[in-house]
Amino acid sequence: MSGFMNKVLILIIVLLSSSIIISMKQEEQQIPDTIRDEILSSMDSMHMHVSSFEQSVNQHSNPKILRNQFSQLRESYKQFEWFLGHIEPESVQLINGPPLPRLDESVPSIMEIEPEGLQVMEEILNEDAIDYPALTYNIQKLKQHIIDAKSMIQSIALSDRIILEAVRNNIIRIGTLGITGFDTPGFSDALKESAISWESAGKALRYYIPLFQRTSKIQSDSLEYLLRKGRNMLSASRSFDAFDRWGFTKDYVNPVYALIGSLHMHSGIEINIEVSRKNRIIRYEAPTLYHTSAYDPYGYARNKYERPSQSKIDLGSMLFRSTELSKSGSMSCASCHDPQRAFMDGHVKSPGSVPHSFTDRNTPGLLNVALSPRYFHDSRTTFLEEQIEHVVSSSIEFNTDYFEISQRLSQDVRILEAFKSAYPSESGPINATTISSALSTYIRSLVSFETPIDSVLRGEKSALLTGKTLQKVKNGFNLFMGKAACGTCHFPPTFSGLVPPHFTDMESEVLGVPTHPTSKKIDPDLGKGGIYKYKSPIYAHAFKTPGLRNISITAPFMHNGAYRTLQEVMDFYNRGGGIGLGIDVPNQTLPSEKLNLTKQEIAEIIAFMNALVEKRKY
Amino acid sequence: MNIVYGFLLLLFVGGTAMSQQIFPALDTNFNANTIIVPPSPLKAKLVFVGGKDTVIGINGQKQLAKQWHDFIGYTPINLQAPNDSAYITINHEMRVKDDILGDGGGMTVFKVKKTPSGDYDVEGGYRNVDFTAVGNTLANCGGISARNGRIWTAEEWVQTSNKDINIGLLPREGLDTTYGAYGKGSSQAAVPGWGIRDTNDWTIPSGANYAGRTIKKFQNFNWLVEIDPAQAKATRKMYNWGRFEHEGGVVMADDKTVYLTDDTQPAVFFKFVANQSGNFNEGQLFAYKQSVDGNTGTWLPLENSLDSMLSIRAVALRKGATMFTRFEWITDVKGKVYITETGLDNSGNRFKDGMKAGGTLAKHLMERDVYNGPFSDSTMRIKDTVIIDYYGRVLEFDPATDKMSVFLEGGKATNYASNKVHLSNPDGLITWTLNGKNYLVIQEDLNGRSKGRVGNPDVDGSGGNICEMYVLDMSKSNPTLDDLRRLLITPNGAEVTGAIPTPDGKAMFVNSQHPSAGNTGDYGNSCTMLLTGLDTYVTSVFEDPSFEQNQGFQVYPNPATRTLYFNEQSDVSIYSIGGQRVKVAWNAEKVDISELLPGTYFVQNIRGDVQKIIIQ
Repeated sequence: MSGFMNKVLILIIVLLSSSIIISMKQEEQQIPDTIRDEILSSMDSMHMHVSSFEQSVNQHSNPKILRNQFSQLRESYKQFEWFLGHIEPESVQLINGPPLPRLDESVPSIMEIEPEGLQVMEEILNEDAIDYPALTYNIQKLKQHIIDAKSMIQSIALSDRIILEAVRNNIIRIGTLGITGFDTPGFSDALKESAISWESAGKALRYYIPLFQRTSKIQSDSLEYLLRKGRNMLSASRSFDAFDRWGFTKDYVNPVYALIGSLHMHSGIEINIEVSRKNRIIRYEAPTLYHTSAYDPYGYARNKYERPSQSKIDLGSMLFRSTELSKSGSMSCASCHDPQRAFMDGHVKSPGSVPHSFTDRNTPGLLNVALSPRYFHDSRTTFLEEQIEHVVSSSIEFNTDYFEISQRLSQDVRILEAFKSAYPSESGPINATTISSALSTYIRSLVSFETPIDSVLRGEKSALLTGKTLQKVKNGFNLFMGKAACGTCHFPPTFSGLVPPHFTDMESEVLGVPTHPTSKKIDPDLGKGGIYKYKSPIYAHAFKTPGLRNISITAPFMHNGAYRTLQEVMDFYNRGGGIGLGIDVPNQTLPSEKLNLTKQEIAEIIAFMNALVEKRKY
Repeated sequence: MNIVYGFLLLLFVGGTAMSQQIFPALDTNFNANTIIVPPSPLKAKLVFVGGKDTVIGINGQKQLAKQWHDFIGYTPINLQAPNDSAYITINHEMRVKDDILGDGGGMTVFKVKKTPSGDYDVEGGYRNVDFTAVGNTLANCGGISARNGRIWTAEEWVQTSNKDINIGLLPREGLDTTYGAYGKGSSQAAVPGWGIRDTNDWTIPSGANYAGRTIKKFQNFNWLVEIDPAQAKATRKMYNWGRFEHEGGVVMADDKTVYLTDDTQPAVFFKFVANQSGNFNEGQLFAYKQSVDGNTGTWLPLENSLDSMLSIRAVALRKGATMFTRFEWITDVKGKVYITETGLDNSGNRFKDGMKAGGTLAKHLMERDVYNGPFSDSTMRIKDTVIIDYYGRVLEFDPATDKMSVFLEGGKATNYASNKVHLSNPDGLITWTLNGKNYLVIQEDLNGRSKGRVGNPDVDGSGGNICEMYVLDMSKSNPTLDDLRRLLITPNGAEVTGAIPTPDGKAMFVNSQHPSAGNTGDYGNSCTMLLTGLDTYVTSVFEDPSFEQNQGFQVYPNPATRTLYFNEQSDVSIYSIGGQRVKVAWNAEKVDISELLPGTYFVQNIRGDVQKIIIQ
């Protein structure tokens, strides 16, 4: 649309609506406070549920009664999760975090934090012999967290923007987490809870319908219609396994997300970049999270205001392919991260720069790897800039340091010029930070969500996904997100350990991967647990959950490259990971129960993964 | 569904450039009042950049400077003219193997000289501090910069085996302070052989206490280490000050008493008293025990043997020392001592062990025990002590009465709406004396983002600055959080650590990760900056805006804090000269404009009143 047209549009909107909006504004200003009151009263209601549950626990009531009461308690939490999850994600961690121990990373020593909250309680209630003191302990803490969260919410300055962001975030929470049953480790009904969550956020959204009606009647009507239909689909579901997650994502999650965003942006209510210009991981402007434009890898950069430039990307691309970075002069980044193969090399372990040497682990692909707050299979670094130095210093990789590299690169006038144009304000442009900055900029340019699956889930047509193939892929997705529980660790839309809806945490899992497919011995690599800072038994053999985009062209698999085919990988999971193979893995985070997937189901999941590949050339 | 998408597509394509209108339409020809926002009086220049500047190492070889800058020491070259020239020492809090700079952590020293304009220039390049004679350091975090220029560097992360110290920490890049110094950004590589490579037993050299005694190599870390900045050499480890999680200390005016902080839980408060002024080789180490009513305390003398020093916290707890939560920096003002107790989200389990060992819980922590409420049974409290301490605090210790009390409790200011001060997890703490007035500079190092600790741009529109730096005027009696003023040291919200002012207070050296004030571009790096123009700056930080009565919508700029104040709480939006809305704030008495580039803008409130501002 031309600039002229835009101006005309603006003029029309201004003429038609400015006077009305001012007067409406007076009445609408109350909406966030009304919603706050509702949230506070639903928190009171949860507190009451906790108290009555506590009474029953104290009386050691019948487990059936306890479980029933507990389900009501969880449902009372789902009334305001959409709001708390946006305002205070850390409170959600305390109230409904995963039932796994973690480390307090704010202290200069190893300090374990035991899990607490609803999921821990559900696991206790799921046991045959209920541990009443443990329940009581968790109840006390839960009460405190509700009170803390309440006092926080009472004092916070709310605005329409925050409410709309929270509602929109919740659509993602349900679409990526809720429907997978990730937070219901026992008897609770994930789909029923998702319906409650969907409905509660939708109820808040309804206050904005008069404004949305003026913004765009057709969009507003569509939104109301889809909200209602989406809730009905969730609440009508009678079987966890049979729920059509593909259809729900394509027909409700993505369109509703897009509609809220569009209506918000055109309503006149400000969006987040107008409040702070800091880089954000998710660009609010994008219609769905299956659009490449939704992600900004600079949200993960150390400097949250950093922006890329084409000259930095070009320089980074050149350095990526330059063997001048290694001491031997024989190795570049591209030696292991082959751009032709989704930036990995097909080896179990990659050959090093020293004869007969190999890397310790399987080389990961680099597409979308920039969307991560963690690097390496053992999660040891936080920023891409840091990751690179490990390769520089490793004796079997570049075996050098930045000082030497700078000197070598300075010999080449072409490279020196490229540095000067990328970093014009630098006096000595080739140094440790410009080298790592350029390489990181290049890696951050490798973010792309353009697989056939993305197209179809965005509501577009894909020539590659039609008819029977499409049906197989759909089934595969539904299994992936449902019965096979893959999606509870490989979270969509990155299908990695990057946790929605905030995408700030990258998870690691203990799977118990053996040394090779027929072995009954765990791979001795401690992974995250071998890292100085994570040297705790809870992280022994833990590895970062990789993204599954482009998986079918990045064999072999797992941190040690143990499996050559996806069929082998699926077999490993189907049997219950290391424990299922008969290996003793005391801290396995993967459920050790068999998945009971049929041959056909496995084939469908693999078909889904095969469709998660891009054809783009790098 | 396709109809919806088709329609949406149209809107997304056409709509991206569409401006938003909840505020009245802005007429850019409006003859508004023009308000000039002059540049910040503060001038920042880079004096030392990690990973870029070259350091002279062992045998005169060159290497790129180590990173992870933390503590800064200031040593006047001439004590009679302490502001004229000095040695600046920078801690590097990372563990690497390095043939040229030495294994482990380290320090860099350089000389600065004052120019006639009040600026400082670096003279004679950067030198690596040689720790060979004392058996290296593991990771240099905090330290002591004494009045007379003596420098001690401190080591945290107590290690328990030679295998652990042999593991190297990479990379040399800076660390993310989002979650504090040990937060998600402190990457720790697990590569054996990349840390301290020489793990032979260590024989304590002459010049230090217990000379000639042999200890395991790992036991030779986690002490305070004195260095000689002029010679760029470490002179000795203070084995008689005990081995624990050293964060720093303060040498009192008598040059005999040293208070030492312990960054762990339970933390013990230590004091060393030298027999003679300035000679710290001989003296007595004590641990603090608070009285039950909290009004006084006693100092428990600790056995002076090497064995005792090697596990001094356990010795202190056995004697009944008082337990605190993570002590960080310490400083003194007019004979009183101030300590940051940084807090811990989920504390408690460690106290349980400390209590078993004989330690007692500090009074202010005892009061926080959540089990006081639902569980009156005292055994439960000791069994499962859970102390929720989200914000931490600044403590005051009065040597005259031996009373330890809360000086400034962390949390939210009472006039939060206008001040938006939320002091959380205070860490860095330094006394700043300027024109005869004392200020405390308090730096945050967040343990988490929840409970309002971080200005969340998605929630409160604060700009999302994390790890804020605050200044407190010490002439105020009974200060509250309302008296804190935010020190915005650099544009773009760069986070700073290790601030140290010159003796006259007119300049300040700080370490930063985001040197956007300098010419290093817009990518992160560890660097040391020099700030000047502080006289004007500090006056305007404490300056309250004055508005004329009944003059309509008024805007008052504070160039120091990069803030626009309004005469009434209102909904405000800022437009660029092209009419694009660039900033929105609701119910604001002031708005942070540090993100706005120099240029002309229009500020409009909800009534449609417009003011033009020129940011210089």
